[in-house]
Amino acid sequence: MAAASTSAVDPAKKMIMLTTSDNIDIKVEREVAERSILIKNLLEDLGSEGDEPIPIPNVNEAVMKKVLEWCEQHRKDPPATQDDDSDSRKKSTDIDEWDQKFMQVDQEMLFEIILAANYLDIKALLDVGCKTVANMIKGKSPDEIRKTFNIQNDFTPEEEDQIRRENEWAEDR
Amino acid sequence: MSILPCAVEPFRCRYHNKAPREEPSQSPKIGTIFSRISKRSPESALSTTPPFKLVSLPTELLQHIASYLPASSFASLAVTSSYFYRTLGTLPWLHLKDKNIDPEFFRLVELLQKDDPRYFFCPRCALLHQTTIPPSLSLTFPLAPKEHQIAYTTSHWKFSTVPLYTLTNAHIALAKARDSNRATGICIDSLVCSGYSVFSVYPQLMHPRKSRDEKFTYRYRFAPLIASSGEFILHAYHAVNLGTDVRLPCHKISMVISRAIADLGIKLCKHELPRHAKEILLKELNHKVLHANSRHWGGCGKECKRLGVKFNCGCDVCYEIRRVKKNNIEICFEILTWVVLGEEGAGARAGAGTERRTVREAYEEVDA
Repeated sequence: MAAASTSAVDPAKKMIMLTTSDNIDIKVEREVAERSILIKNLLEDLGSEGDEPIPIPNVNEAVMKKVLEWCEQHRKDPPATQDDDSDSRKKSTDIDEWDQKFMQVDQEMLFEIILAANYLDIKALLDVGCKTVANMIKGKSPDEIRKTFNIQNDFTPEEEDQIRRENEWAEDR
Repeated sequence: MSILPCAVEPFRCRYHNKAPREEPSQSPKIGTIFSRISKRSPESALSTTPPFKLVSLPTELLQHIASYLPASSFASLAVTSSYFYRTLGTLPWLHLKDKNIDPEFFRLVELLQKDDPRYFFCPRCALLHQTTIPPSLSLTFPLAPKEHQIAYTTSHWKFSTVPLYTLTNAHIALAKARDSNRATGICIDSLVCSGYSVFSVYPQLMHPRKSRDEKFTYRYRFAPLIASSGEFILHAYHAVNLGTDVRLPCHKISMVISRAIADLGIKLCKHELPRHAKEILLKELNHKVLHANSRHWGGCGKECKRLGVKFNCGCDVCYEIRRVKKNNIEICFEILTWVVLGEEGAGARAGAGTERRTVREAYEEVDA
């Protein structure tokens, strides 16, 4: 199974090629790319060759580079356990310092990272992205949230009052 | 028509305007960075609209984000638009109100109050009250004439006149209506106001050594109640720190106090202080403030002995003047008044014995 070319290098250090949506080829170490469960599964399906570029049609170059930067930093992280969806994970919105700096990007990039992490199946990155957005929402009033994320308020004042009363936040007359 | 007695924009009191107006302190750094214009779309540099919005995220990702939010922020996000309302659902905050003491509920109403000046949060009812009289109420409830019952107005050489607190007959009638029937009227706490302001001292009256930018402070709280007799009793609390040096000559301090009382519009009952009442008040103030300091003992002693003259306006009023000893230099005093407003309750204010209870006793019975 092992060809002469692959046995020479550590398979984790082997370079693979990713083709982004804007047709740019990015070379990356296999171990780094395998932080993405999608890529990992693709590589396994394709066999150990990995010489052909892997198309990632949903992610462009800028976002892919950003995502790979994160994967590089977190290459040695232990893989997420399967039943990690418990409450303990969801409650905390603490983000480690490197990730906080990493997430200091404009809103568009942030959302694209979240989408890419979701598509590429990188759970830890998805969580960091979502926590970052959650932290931007926390402690803000509805109006402040609208301003932050440019959300159009389509409720009429009557509907807003209705919501307040239905939920018993406001006095019912 | 606004309900609030302090509802003269922009001078709404602290009690009705206590939610912080500035942006929350949460990650300001990230906030400023996100407000930067996207590098990749120079054509959007002029518009503030980011091309890729939060709403463009798929539902499951929005829900994932929301799963990190405490119930108050979850609700806050859900009510931003009908899309979020439908997408996020109401489950996490549906029963927030039921758990009445849940701090998340208080956080939520504080957030909601922040946006909408039509509401304020009433801690007594744990509810948002409207700051305007809803049409239904003004239709079904025969409003008493909108006459001023009592109006406190402050003025100062540096500022124009500021109406601080105004109660009308309508306020009193509505509060009394709520007292007898919970389904109508307005909550008495709608009529509670408190605030704090800083004035410049009077340069012409000041000690020459004092700098001009020295301040004196004024704190107030107006807290009406319905007594067990059904009477509407307004309790007013004024705390004044003149910051003036008590070592000033006696007559100068008297002048400063007199000027402050006039400018702050402090009164004992609903009437403007008649001349003789003002004299009594000032004499008592001088007595408490000056003569408590032994260095001045005997300074104007003769006049102070004439305290205890009755007011002749017929108001049912109690008052107390206290000197506050902050340090031995600053002049601080408090004036507390209790006065019956509106029509008298059927004179049911009988004490335990034969003595008729004072307004203050009737107030404190309910307040305790």
